[in-house]
Amino acid sequence: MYVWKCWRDSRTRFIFFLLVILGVYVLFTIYAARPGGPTGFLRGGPLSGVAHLWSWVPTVLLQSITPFIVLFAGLVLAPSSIGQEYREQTLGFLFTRPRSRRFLNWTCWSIGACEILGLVAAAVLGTFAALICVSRYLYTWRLLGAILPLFVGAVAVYSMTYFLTVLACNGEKGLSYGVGILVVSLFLPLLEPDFNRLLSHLWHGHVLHLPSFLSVMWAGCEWVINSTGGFPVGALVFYGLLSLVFPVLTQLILERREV
Amino acid sequence: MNDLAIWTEKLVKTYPGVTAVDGLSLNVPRGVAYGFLGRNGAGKTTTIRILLGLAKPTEGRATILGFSAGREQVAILERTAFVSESKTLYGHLTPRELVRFTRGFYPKWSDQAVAKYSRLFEIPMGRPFSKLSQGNRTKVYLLLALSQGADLLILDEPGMGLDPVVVDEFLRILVEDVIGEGRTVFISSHQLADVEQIADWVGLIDHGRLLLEARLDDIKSQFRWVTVAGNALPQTKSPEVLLAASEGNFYKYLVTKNADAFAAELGRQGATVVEVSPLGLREIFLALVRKEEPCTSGNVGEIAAPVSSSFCS
Repeated sequence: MYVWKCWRDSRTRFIFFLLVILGVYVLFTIYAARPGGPTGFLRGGPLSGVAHLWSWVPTVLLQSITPFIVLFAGLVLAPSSIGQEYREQTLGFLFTRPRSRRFLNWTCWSIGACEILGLVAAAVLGTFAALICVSRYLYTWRLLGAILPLFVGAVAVYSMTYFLTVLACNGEKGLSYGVGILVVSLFLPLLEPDFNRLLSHLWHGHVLHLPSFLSVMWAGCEWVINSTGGFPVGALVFYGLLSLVFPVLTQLILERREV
Repeated sequence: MNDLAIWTEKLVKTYPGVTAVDGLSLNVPRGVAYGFLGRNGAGKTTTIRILLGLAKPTEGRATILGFSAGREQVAILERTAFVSESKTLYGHLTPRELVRFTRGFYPKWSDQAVAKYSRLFEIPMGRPFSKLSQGNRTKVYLLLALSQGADLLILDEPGMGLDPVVVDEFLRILVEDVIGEGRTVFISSHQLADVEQIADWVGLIDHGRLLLEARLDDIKSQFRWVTVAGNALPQTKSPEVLLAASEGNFYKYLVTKNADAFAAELGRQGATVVEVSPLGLREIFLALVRKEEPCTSGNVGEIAAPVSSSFCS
């Protein structure tokens, strides 16, 4: 029943993001496939044109647009259910239902994670559809590989914001803290060269790749689309573990918190 | 202790600068209605929150229906229905959806009870909870609690916002459908008259300490005010004397049993016995917790404890 309640709390936001993805994809497909459009001349064209088309459509959709949508979805979905409990001061009611707080925590977290997976899957399937519409015959199962980096990056942001919501006992605060950290993380790669110059100077030869939720998505999609750069296994493991550490920390807080 | 619905031993709960519960030892038998009485801020809600696992005790321990509070919380919550003082629920859900949400948690849930009580309380089941009046919100809470098939009902100010007709109906339901089936009701309230209607036992708490725990029948049949006049009356230290206070030229003693013998003893010591009169729950409550009364007893345990200083001058 708590599954139903969490879904009910978050479904409006989930459907909103689903519609955003579908809307963006449909608009892009209409734009790309129109006669005289950027891909029109490639239809049935030489192999090099087809290859370029294969790369161009997913690069725009999966690598450039989708990461921002699903990251934002992760931010917004995180405080929907647990934040609602704090806003309406219903944790006392919830915690007097005969379920462990561990169960309630993981159920709540899992519903949001499943919704993010649904959004990512919709984006990948949308890319298939767009490719078929644009080229009439062009698709590849290789695109399915993009699900993992997109999901891991988005769910890491979701988990972090979920944790911050519980830490702050407030959905709005959790969301704003999450936005703050996400913005900082987006700019971190820009500082990487200077940071590593300093680090290398202080600690001979050592360099660090500063974390960014977007970079893991971009790197994964890059490998899937263009087979370049290598699949970011290490980053995926790091962000995958991070995604699980946050709900564990949330559980520890909830189990100890007085209501 | 497993024969008790609720048992606490020297329960203490402190917050920075405040001791909300101070060495509370409760013994609530099974199958009774227990009135848990006290002023605002006496520690009633904190005690209930500890029992339900919403707060952790600083010291002491508690069992509910034989299960250890805190350690076996899910087992306790499966058997316990709770009506909170705040009466907050999900505002966007309708009572029908709240029933749907709550039903899945309880194996002994009764849809028949939902139908019966929603009709009886005239609850608008299709309107969002946030749009309901205070009284209807309370009714929804009561509906959810009564439909759980719980062995123990913990009710924190259950009559809040209800009109007298519904309160009367609710008390009748508690007596017939809950206590009548051998289940236990633990009711915390300021409404002494309501509690007096149904309670078998009462516990009176003030400043986190239990002042009195007794059967209501014992209170009615044995508790007496003994009013005497006289000079230099001896200090009385007895388990039977719950309170002693001076009123002008008179001394008043709240005696828990053998009031006539106590009065006779005072008479032998030179006092003039003015009156030995029965008293109700309200009078006992006021006598024990009245703020300007400095001479109240400590944690008195099951019936009554010695009064540490008998005379207030």
